[in-house]
Amino acid sequence: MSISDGVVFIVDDDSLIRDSLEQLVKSVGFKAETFSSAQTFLNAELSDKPGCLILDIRMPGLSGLDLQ
Amino acid sequence: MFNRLKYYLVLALVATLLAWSGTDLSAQDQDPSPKRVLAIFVFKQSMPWPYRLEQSLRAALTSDRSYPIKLNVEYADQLTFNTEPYLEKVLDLYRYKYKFSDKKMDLVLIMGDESVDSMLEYSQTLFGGVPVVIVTVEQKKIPYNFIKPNMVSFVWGVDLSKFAALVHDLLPKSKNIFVVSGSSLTDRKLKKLAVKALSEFDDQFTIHYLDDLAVEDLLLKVAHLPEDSVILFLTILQDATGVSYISHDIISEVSEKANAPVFSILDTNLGEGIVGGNLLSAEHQGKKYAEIVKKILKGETLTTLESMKSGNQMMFDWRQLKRWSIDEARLPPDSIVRYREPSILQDHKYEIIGIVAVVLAQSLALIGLIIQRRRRSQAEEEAQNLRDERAHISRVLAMGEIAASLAHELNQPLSAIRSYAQAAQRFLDNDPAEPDEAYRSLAGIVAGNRRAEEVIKRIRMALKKEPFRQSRLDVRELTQEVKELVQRKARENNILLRLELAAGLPPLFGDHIQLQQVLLNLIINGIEAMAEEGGHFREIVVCAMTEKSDAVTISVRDSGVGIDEKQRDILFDAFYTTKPEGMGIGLSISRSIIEDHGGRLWVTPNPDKGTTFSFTVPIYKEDEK
Repeated sequence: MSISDGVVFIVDDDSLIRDSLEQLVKSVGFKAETFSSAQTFLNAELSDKPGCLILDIRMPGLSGLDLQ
Repeated sequence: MFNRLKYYLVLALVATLLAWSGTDLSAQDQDPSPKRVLAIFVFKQSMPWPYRLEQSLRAALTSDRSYPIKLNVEYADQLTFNTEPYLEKVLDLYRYKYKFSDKKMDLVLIMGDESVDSMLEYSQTLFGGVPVVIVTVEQKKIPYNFIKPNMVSFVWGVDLSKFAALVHDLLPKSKNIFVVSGSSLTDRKLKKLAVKALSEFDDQFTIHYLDDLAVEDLLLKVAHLPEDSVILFLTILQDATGVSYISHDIISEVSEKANAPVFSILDTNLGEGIVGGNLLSAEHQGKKYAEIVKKILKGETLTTLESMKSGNQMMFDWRQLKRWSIDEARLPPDSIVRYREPSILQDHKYEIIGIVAVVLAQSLALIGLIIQRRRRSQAEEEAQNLRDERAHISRVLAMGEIAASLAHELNQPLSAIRSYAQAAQRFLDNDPAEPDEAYRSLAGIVAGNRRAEEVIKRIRMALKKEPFRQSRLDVRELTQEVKELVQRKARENNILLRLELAAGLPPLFGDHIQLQQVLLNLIINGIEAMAEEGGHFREIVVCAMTEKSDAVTISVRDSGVGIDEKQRDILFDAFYTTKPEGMGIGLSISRSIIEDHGGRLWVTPNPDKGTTFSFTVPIYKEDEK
């Protein structure tokens, strides 16, 4: 299992930010999974692969800090 | 006894009579005994021309107090009745009045051909050998066998010699002259004069004589004369059927009906509808007779065959000159123009001055009002400028309040752009290069850039300084734009900003930037009202609906701290604020903006929590530009 197997989770309500981050992550060889809100991220069935999370703090509804 | 009483009574009566006549006699003694003149006119009484002649004659004869003359006038009326039995009666009357009267005439004047013809024969027996003056139209056929040395004859002096030239001067186009006359001796003699006077001009004019018509037919005839005709009306003392007339009366009817201008010979006809002519003056005639009478009474011998032509005068009726479009400049010199209608100015001098004054006063008032209006509109313009200025300042302030969130708003696309750019670089550097992915990233850059531009455009628009100008606005676009401006700020405060627009809203008529500003102010106020609150469900709803037919109501509802009764009264005052860093001008400006639109802005507390600010904006109508 190489580092490139890892998944970066991106949670942001702004689609442009989400998409640009996804592109950036992909350009360095990681996989990316995006979520438009903290709630959808929580609801998603996540794989057990190693990963990291890019989380926007200020979001309507459940905020980044709330998620943490 | 009884007889004696009667005797005394008669005696007393005689004595009284004697006493009375005695005073009478003594009075007469003081004056020289008056000369008595009898004038016999052929006419019937009350005809204008002889009447004026009589007046003039009487005035001239009696003016000299040192030489008293008593004038008796008889109107023989021989034009109406010219029969032997009538003449007999007239002569009887004269015999009774003058022959057997103790007051004998000193001079007899007979005027008019019919009378001359009949009276001359009897003058010797009626009046004895007193001087007789006869006046006729022309002298050819007077009964010379009766003319005695004590008689002298004159002609009327009707002057027709200038008529043709006059017509030629006044109405150069004239081709036809219609000479109207009657059938009496005087009428016929006048016609003869006309025939003689006009005979020289038969190469210039076609001359027609209308002397064989009944008056009714004459009136029909003159109404349909050929073009370029003129009428010369002499006299109709008797028409062709033998009916006698007052020609004065006929002439006004002829003038009225005729389709050609009417000229005449007697001055008393002027004013009856004739244009005028070389008119024989009744007054002059009277004076002339008086002159002759006086001379004869003083013993002068006068030669017969004298004429009185100098009594003619060119006279015209101003109204008729206008009616027939005759230029006054064409009139012969020394013409008298009568009946000149005074100009409106002369006639209504004071009314006109009054009207002019009123008009002037009104004009002044009007000018005053215009100046006042201009001043007011200038003042209004200045006030509007001030309001625009104030609105702009408040807008800048409002933008300042959301500047931080706007910066963030702008930062979002910028950071996205940076991510996309870095990603694109890497996709191209990878081995193998991933151009498809790089291309997708570049597309992202374009999208991000566009979003940044949008933000900047919105900020610039909101900060633009523009004069108040109403135009057609879409409610959805307007609220959406404002939403995008404050979206970020709302979100930063964990507030959901929502639009709730009724379906089928009509377009508004308003100033784009200023209405945007009002919405912005209200939403920012709402956000700030809720920022002080703890974290529960927070939302601001912008509603729009049509409650009235001419306006849309837009309201901004928050679930903030609310406003108490006291605050509500002073809420809209300038410089009232509850915010530590606020200026307190947002609401007062919002209200004046809405009032400029002809709408109103008010506040109501929500039943559960928070406050609702509402305002109305007029609906755009097609005819408003």
